[in-house]
Formats: sequence, C-alpha cells, structure tokens
Amino acid sequence: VKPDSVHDALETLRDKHGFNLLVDLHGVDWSTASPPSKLVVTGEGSVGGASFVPPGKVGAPAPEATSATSVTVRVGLTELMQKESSSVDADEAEIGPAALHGRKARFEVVYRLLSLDLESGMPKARCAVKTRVAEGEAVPRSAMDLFGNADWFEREVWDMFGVPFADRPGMKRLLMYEEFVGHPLRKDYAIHKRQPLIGPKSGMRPDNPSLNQPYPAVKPDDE
Amino acid sequence: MNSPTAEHLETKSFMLNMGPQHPAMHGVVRIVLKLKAERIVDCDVEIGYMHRAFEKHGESETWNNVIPWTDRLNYVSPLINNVGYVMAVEKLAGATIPERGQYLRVIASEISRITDHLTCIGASAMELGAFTVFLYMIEAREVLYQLVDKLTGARVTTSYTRVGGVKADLPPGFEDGCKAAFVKTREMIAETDKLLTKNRIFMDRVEGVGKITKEDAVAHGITGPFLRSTGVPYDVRRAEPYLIYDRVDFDVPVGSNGDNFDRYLVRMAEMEQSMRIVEQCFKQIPEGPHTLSPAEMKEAFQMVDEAKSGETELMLKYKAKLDQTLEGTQRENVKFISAPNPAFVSPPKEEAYGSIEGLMHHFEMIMWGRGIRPPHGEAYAAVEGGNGELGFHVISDGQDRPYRVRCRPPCLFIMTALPKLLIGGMVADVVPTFGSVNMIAGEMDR
Repeated sequence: VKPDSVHDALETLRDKHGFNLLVDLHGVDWSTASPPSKLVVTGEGSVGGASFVPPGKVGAPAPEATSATSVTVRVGLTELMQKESSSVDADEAEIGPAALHGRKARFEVVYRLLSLDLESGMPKARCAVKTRVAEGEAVPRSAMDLFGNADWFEREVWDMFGVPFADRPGMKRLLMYEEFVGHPLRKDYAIHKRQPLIGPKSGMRPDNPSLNQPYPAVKPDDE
Repeated sequence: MNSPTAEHLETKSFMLNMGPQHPAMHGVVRIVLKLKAERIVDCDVEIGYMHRAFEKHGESETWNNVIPWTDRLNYVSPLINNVGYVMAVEKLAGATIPERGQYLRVIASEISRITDHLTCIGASAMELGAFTVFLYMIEAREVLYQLVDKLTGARVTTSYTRVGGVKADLPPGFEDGCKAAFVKTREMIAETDKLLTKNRIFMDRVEGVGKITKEDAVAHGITGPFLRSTGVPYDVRRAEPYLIYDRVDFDVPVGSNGDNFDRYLVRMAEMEQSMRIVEQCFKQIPEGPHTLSPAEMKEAFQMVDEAKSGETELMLKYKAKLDQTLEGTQRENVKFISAPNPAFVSPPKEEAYGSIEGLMHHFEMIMWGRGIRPPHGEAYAAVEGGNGELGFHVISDGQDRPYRVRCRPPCLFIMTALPKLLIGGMVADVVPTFGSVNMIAGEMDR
C-alpha cells in the first residue's frame, strides 16, 4: 500500500477483519538486491495463513489458502482493496518475489499481522502489509495508537534504517546509542565501519580477524 | 505512626535507576523508575545493551554460517533458534527433510524448552530468595545440557541444524540417557513444586503481581507462556503445527489471571508436556541406520590416506569411523536425517573422503561464493520458542548469503509491555515481574 494509507489499512484490518496482534514490524533496504534471473515463486506467509494480495496484480499468483477461514479473509481483503482502490498503486502494491527488482523506493516497511481468536487460541489468518518509502521520506502516520508495541518497533526501524514516522515526536533509537552515526542495516553501511565513539578515527580496521570478507562477495563466475 | 503533621509534609517523587547491571536482574537492561515513596508512578525501559548486530551479520554470512549466530539469540534454548532459522530457509528453498530428521529437531527443541523454563523459574525464584530452588533447577538443567552436549557436541553453542537436515544422528545410548535425565528433571520439578507452589512467602510475592489482561497482552504482541498465562491458549506448535507436532499428543496449559504466579504455573506444566512430547517421539521415531560391525568401519584418516594414493575402489563400501565431533554424519545416517538434495546438503563423510565427486560436492558447499543459493523470494517461518512465537523472515536475492534475516524475538514484545506491568506496583515487585518476563538480552537485542 502507499505510505499514506498504511494507517487506514491497518485500522481497517484490525477493526473489521480482526487482525488483533501485530506480530512484527521491520524494514528492508532493497538498494542492492540483484534482479532475479528466473522468477521463482515461493509461498509467502505462513502455514494456514492468508497473504495480502492486491487485485489486478500480475506476476505472482495468489497464494493458496489452506483453510476455509483464510479464504474468507482473503476475499474480504480483496474487497477492501477494491473499495479503497484509490489507496492502491499498482506498481507499489506489488508483493512477494516479483517485487524484488525494479522498485522505485528504497525502503520497505513490513507490518505482519495475525488474527487470533482469544478463546480457542487458534489463529484465523495472517497477513503482511508492506509499504515503500524513498530515502529521506517518512511514513506519515505512526501505528502507535493501533498497536501498543508499534512504538518500539517504529523506533527500531528508525534506528536501523533511518526511516522516520512523521507524526511521532522525539524519535529515539531503540538498540543503538544516541551518539551512533548512521543506520546500520542500510546496505551502504559497511559491516567493518567503525564509530567515532569507538574508533579508530580512520574508520577501518581491515586486519580484524573476526571480520569476514566484505560485501559484495566473490562471485563464482569471477574465476 | 501518623503524626498529625505528616499529611502536610510535602512529598516528592524521585528517580531510581535499575540496571543495566543489577544483581537482581538477569540480563542487561536498564529500567528507570519514577517513584512516589515505594510506588512506581512512571517507568522507562532502555534496551540495546547487548546488541550484537545479528541481522547485519546475517547479511554477510553464507546461509549455513548464520546458524551459529542463531545460537547466541536465546542462549538458554539455542536449539529452538537453530530450528526456527533453518525452517525459514527451507521454506524459501522448498526443501523437506526426512521424518527422522524432523523427529530429531522436535526432540532437540523440546529439551531446549525445558532448559529454558528451568532457567526462568530457577533464576526468578532465586531473586526472591529461594536459592535452593535455583540450585535444584540448575542441577536438572545441567543433566539436560549434558544430553545436548552428547547430541550436538556443545552445551550451549549447539549449531545443531543444517539447511535441509540436522548435523548428526542420535549418538548411541541417547534414548536411555534421555530417560535418566527426565527422571532427574521430574524429581527436581516435584521438589520445586513442593517448595514453591503453596509457599506463603513465594505466593505473597507473585500472586496478583504483574497482572495483564488478555486484550492488553495481545495488543502488545505477546505470545508464548506469557500470553497463555492470561488464558489465551495460543501455541504455535498447536495452532500451526510444524515438523511433526501434529503427531504427538500434548496439552497447552493456560492460566487465568495473567499474573506472575500463573506464569510460573504455566511454565511448570509446560516442562512436563515437553517431556511427554520427547517420550512420544522416541516411540514414534522411524528406525535409523543399523549398527555396522567394526570390520566394516575404517578410520577416517586411513580413508583420506588411501584416497590420496588412489586406492578408492572399495572405499565407498566402508563406513568412516569419525571422531566425536563428526559422529553421526556418516552415509548411513545422512540419508535418514537430511534431505536428499545435493544443492543444500553436504555429502556424507565417506563420499567426501573417498570419491572425487564427493570431495567436489563438499567444496561446493563450503567455499566462499559457492554454497547454498535459495531462489529469489522471501519466507517467514515461526516456531514456538521458549518465550513465544520466534519468527524468522528471510529474503534471498539468489546469492550465497541472505539478503536480509529478520528475527522476531518473542521477549522483545513482552518487554514493550513492561512499563504497563510495573506502573502502580511497588519497587519490590519489579524483581518477580521482570523474572517472569524471562527476558533474554541476547534474543531481545539481537
């Protein structure tokens, strides 16, 4: 979905479709993904779960729903997406392996939801909501008011990828310290980079025995 | 007592800093409390003191080399992490592993779950002064660790699973060792039960403390024993059975109050269920390889020497006699525990030592820039960890290393709710509540 409508989508999913548990919220930096030579579709989502499939999507087939309940939820989602078709951009709403290449925006923020029945403890469905933002762009609305745990995970996305959430005051890092420079899970943050607080100042320590070969690796056709 | 002027005295709230290193907290976390007398009025939790860049390292290691890093996530139940990670990769790669391998993974996971709960109960009881319980629990855990040591070659840094299988088959005498260990564990759990469950001192500290409703727990994404203590019987093993969990009979214990006492009871009951699962696995597990007579065995170094001098004709008829760390990875075993897929699974040692194809295959698996290459795509797999749903989201762009490895650490989700659990309570309640969260810094900070 478009970054503008993430909050609406999450709210609709939570209130109308019973996705009451935010399983995970994390980011992906797609800047160095290599385009697939051959498109192989593997089932995304989990056992017995439904995936978030926008209508009119080409490339990836709809994942098989494994139980009656997940079928209904999937239909419900498709309807939801059609109703709010203004919120769907055909290019940006791509999901799954087909989306690995040719993307416009660098960062992806993934919200993974679970619809859990509190009485039986059985999950009704799972889905993932994904949005993409460019570098320097912010996700306009935080999901803090919908899910209690979104607070920390948005902080983690900011910490690791530098993707801010616009309506949050005073974004703090979650795992790193405030003096940390850069965002470590960005692909352009070299794994052997040193921090000013830790040093050395030159920023590199190439002879460190604990470091593996720096990215990118030697490719097999380099022989 | 209250003097008439006492109510006119000005009261001031003050800040108290607990952690990152605090004798009553196992794990590195900083809790800043705002107190009014002994009541907690506000609370801020700071984490990240044990961040080791698991996800960043995952992107720079080959697919199989990430497995040792997963040991260091939840270091009291490392085998479950191993299983969770490789299951995500296998889902991506579309690999299925033989039944015996699946049973081995379940046995390993359940033993780990017991050690996890033993540590949690033992440590949190110790923090309340029950040092005996801690010693009992650690004694039982030690027996189980020795079992894990026999199985994997290490007590804690197990790295037992491989993409497409497990490292090695069961060592000889494992089942008997397991039975003996369970006798000991049951004895220790019974002792602990006698010491704690109806103990007035213990119950006063834990009953009704750190309460959370099921709605709040779900809103914070809490899973595992913590969620089950509130009365929601969500267990990934039951809800979305993976491996062979649908073939074993086990109960999902649930609490009703969502307080520290219920969490203690749920964990106590779960250990018994885990032992039941392991016992059923031993009954159901398909037959493994038969034992060969010593005449059919050959020392590994001898095989290598003979291969070097070109005497490879009869080599593949022998079974390699390996040293202890490689025990159980012979050809006979590998076909029972690993997927028959040469793209993911290392060749058995006999072939690596005794044939050029095997040797090439071996190098193909381990050299930089070679190795496993799952197809483009992404997969999310969840297993029931010691603390709840442990999920791994892996993305491949067709290289020999993951493009992204995301670990969903269950105790981080519980920690997001910690302020809610603590505010309104007393300072002394921080210790039992925090103990029942079972925060494992290695998993939370990754």
